[in-house]
Amino acid sequence: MIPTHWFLILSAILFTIGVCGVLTRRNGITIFMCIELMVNAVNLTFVAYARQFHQIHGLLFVFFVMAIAAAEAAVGLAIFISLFHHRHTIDVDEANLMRW
Amino acid sequence: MNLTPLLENGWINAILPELILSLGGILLILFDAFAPKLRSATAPLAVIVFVAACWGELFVVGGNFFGDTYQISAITVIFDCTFLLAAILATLFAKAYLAREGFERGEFYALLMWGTVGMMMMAKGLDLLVIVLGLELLSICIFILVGFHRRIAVSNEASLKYFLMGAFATGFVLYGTALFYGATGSTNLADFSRYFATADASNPLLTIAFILLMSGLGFKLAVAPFHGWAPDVYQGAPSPIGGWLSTAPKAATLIALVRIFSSMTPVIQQASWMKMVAALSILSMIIGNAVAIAQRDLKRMLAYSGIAHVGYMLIALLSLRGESVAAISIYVITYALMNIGAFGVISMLAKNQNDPQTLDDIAGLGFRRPFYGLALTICMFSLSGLPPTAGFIAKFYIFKTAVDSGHMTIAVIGILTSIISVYYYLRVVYFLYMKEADATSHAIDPDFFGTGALLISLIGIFAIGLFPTPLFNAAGAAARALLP
Repeated sequence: MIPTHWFLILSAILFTIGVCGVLTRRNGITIFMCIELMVNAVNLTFVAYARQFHQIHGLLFVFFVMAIAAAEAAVGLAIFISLFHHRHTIDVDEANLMRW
Repeated sequence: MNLTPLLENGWINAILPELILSLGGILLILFDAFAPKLRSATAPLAVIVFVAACWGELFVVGGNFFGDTYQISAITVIFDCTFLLAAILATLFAKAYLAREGFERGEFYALLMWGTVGMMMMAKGLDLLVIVLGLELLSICIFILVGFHRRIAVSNEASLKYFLMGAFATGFVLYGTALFYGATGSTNLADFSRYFATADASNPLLTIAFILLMSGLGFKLAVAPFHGWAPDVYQGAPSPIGGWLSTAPKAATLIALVRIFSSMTPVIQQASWMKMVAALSILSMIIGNAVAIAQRDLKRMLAYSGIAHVGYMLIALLSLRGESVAAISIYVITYALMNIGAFGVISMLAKNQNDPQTLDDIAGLGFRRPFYGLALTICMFSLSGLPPTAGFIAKFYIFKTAVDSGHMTIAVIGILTSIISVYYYLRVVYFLYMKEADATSHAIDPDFFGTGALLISLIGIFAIGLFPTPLFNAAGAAARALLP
């Protein structure tokens, strides 16, 4: 059996890649995909721990996280479409109407 | 094997307000779909649903429900009433706003209702799963409400920014939860307190998990340095939503934090996590108040002042005692009354959402629109914490609990920064009464609902400011039941 901490290291790497992607990418959809990567890294962590503890609780959490991610995607893509109607771009650097 | 029943007795009573709001939201959408000619009746119907939910609070029985994941007590009733109050005020202000902008829709109020349900779940959740679900229900409603004015670019941009930031922050909250699950073997806060009673405070996994959770929730609270989204979102969102968004979700996150923190004692004190919270609080008070001085746009100024107000509220969170929870609950009620009131006046004075509301736009307004001018003045006095308004009482109580529990330095920083804040709040009053008006002033239609909401705010501000004792006693008794 593969030890749990291998999964944890993998999910930490995935989460970090996601965070780096959010911070460096400029395309709205790519940023959102990086956020999905972060969320899936979280799911992997939950599943790994649930396997280690022989619990159902962690797996249940994963289902809720997936539902949350799906709901966010539905609303997020609608926001992107609405923005695209105005700007004909979803580059987040172009979203600069408001500055302090 | 011990089988517990799936649903405890009295579960319907326990979540009666949530049920009323959820069903009310669905009914409003159906009403909008089947009777589009009666759209102007949706706002009064929404207010009726909110008042019905308040009435539902009377039948709520205390206790733990749904397998110890949902705790109902006197303090959650107080917070529920705060959320409902904020939602009612936002609804009343939104009626004229939506009619003016030409998109009066039932789903606007439905989203407010479901967002309120999300906040109630956060306030009552005894399990991180319930808290996260409530947070997400709330966040998704906010994403849509912020971008509700989809025909104008500013609102779209605000929605995009809040969406990307909010989803990013959710990732952090979830990862923090996952690591806590790994450390404790549970997401239930009761199991947390059992685990943390004997936990090793030097465990780095716990510290990483706490930092992740706190930075995620810090985004939602708009504390510095996670405040970047707040000014843009408040400026771009429909003004009544700006007021609602700056008060009610913060209250929900704070009460969730109270529960999470109290389940982590004594490690939270030993591992100096509270020092991180104190740093967030100090940074918020300084950045919020300093940058607010530089703002000309009223909504952006209120956004930065909101960052400072969260800083004050976090002071009370540093000492996990009943007193401090009572102080937070009084502060959030007061803040809801005065901040939504201020946003409401700004909303009523603007020609449309694209119209920037800068200090120059309200010059001389105090004499042309005596009631609105007076209302904005009182809200500003209360926000800056001058007696005899509620803002003074709330701030006094926060600083008193901080001094009582030995956080002298941070209380002094709070008092000094709130003295700075008087400058930019009173500058609004100065522009209202002592500046010459522009020639180009536009007519404002009388707004029955908005005026009613303003009256509620003003009466509330003076009622708490002059007769705080009943609220003090109720909040104090409720908070001591939650924490000793």
